[in-house]
Amino acid sequence: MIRELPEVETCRVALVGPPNCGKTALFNRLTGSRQKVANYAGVTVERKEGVLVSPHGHTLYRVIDLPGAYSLVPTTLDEAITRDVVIGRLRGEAPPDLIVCVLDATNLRLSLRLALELKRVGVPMIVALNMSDLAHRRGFKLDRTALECELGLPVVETVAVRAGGDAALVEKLDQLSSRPSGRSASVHPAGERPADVALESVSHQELAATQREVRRILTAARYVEPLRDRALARLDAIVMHPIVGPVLLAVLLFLIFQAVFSWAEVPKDWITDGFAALGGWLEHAMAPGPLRSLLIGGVLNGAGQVLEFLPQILVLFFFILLLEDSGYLPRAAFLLDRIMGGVGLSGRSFIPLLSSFSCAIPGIMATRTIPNLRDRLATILLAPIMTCSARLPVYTLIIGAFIPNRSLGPWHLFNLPGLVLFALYVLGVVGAVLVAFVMKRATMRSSYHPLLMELPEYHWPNLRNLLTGLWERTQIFMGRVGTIILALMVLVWFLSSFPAPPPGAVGPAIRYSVAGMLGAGLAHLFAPLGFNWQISVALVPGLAAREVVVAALGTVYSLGGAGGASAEAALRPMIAGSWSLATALSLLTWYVFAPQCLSTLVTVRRETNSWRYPAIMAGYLFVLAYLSALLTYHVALSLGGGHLRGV
Amino acid sequence: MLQWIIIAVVVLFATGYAVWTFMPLHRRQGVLDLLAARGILAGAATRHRARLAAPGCAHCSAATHTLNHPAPSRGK
Repeated sequence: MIRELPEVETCRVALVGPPNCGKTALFNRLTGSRQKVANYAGVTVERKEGVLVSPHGHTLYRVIDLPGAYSLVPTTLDEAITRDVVIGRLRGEAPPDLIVCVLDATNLRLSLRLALELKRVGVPMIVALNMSDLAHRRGFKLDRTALECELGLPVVETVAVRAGGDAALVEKLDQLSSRPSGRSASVHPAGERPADVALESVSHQELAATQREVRRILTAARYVEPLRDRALARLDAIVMHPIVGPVLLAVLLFLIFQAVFSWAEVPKDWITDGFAALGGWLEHAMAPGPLRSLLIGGVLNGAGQVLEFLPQILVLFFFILLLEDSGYLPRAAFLLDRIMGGVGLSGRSFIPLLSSFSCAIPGIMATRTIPNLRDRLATILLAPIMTCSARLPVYTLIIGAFIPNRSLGPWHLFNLPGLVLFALYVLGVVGAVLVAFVMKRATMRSSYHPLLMELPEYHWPNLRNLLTGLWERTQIFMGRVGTIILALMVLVWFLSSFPAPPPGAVGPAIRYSVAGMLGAGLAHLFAPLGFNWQISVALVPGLAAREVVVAALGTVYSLGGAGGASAEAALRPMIAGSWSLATALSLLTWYVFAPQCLSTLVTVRRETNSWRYPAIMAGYLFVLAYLSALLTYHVALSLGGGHLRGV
Repeated sequence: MLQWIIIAVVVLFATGYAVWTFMPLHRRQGVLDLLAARGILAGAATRHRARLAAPGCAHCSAATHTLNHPAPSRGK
């Protein structure tokens, strides 16, 4: 909450820096929880704005965290956005009053070039040497005053991950913004407009000249490059080993999926019990009637069911954020570059595809870092096959109902549901690899572009960053449950309840409703896959978002005659009793490939500026999902999985 | 009777919200402009237009030229 300040000046500050320099950590340190993320979640792919009030309280800084950029001459869409914001060319975005150029103090030789380019733009600027604590520990030496003289810019040292590590920067910001000429002062040569400076392409000669200038400045500033820790170098030799590295990555991912199941069990049970208690209380407190039916059948059985999966989603994100913060993720991208190159993708596709494990939307947006258009389109088309967190509720519901919770392996280290979940994730990855291979062969022949990126140093993950990331996820998930999922569940309840069955009708009331009739129609299409009419009904609202199918099943089965408690615990025995194992496996396979997410299709439309690619995506995913589910169902039937277990 | 009225309002609101959420932004603007022309929700139309021009999704559309015409290599 920002307190009201009399006569507060507002100053727009842009944080610019190369990827992995700790820019987002510095942004979090400066703005705390006073952040606004536009539209979708992610790290620096999107626009993040936060607020910082100066210590003396007279200036309110609107801090913008811009996507990482090595240069102002862009090779990716992310870099283009950064350039456009910096030079004030982006539609609807006012140019910054101040720029904070965040550089990695442990790697100045590479990153100082960006500071020189930014200086030419002409906006007042501060250079922040981030991770300076790490650099000093490794023998970093620099005459900061000499560097300030050479650059003609103020230089401060920051430690984004430490409380107070931004104090010098905040002080300098205040000095610069309170100076009468501070914000209007231009540092670029007379007669040279910022746009002219920044939009030039760079020839090899100019590049070499800039690098010479960087070396000259660093020599003048008596820069002693920090040495790399020998232990970390040894660690890298293991992590990046061509054989050990991928094995380590596979083991790591496997353990993560085990943890998703086992760690989240207790909080998930709390939520389940909470909803069951609330449902029981409502049943006693309210007289039977349509309103009670809406609250229990629609709201609690619907939106409440989805909420139960929050702990699992948070556990998954905890690990993704942990790996990202520790510097391991870019290494994983390198490890997979050769494998991905074999199927027509580049290592740059790894991060977008990994982001798609949380949600395909930030993953698709993250493809902007892929410079080659064909590689980018291929990655966009593959992103929805990665198992997003919205599938997790569907998977865990079906696995919980059909797979016994049995421990396996040495010291009972693994549990069977976790193994099945891991297998489903692997199936998604294998499917994506096969699709990429077919795409490469069929239409998207593109030359292999080797991955070229700077590996950040390993560091201990910062608890504050982890918590901020998890809080963002919680807000997004709760926002979805409380808005669109709730609205759709009310509609599913309505369509499942009306019209009421005629007098003397036999069978569950829902069969006479609109949803029942729709389900009966769709059941013909899905009957070869083993789906009953309840599943067919649930697939319709599931188009809005995949996790909605669980809520819809809760509503449909509750209205189908079972009634009672609102929690997943009540749904599990119901589906276990009315579906065969073959149907359950078929539905799981369907969800590995199903094109059921309108938001993803809309995002693809926006990112590709065409309906062609969403149409191709929906078409190929539907065919793939249908054929895979058909195959799974018939194989399972032939192996004796067609029997009902009974409740 | 009161229960039925509450349910009708809730269902109508949920329908409207779901339709609005999945409506493309330019179509939303069209609906708001239509309402504003009749003197309804004029402020909302202006706010929505400002939001469309603001960063966020506008970032992508504003920068698509870079995707279509990639910048020359800087010799990385």
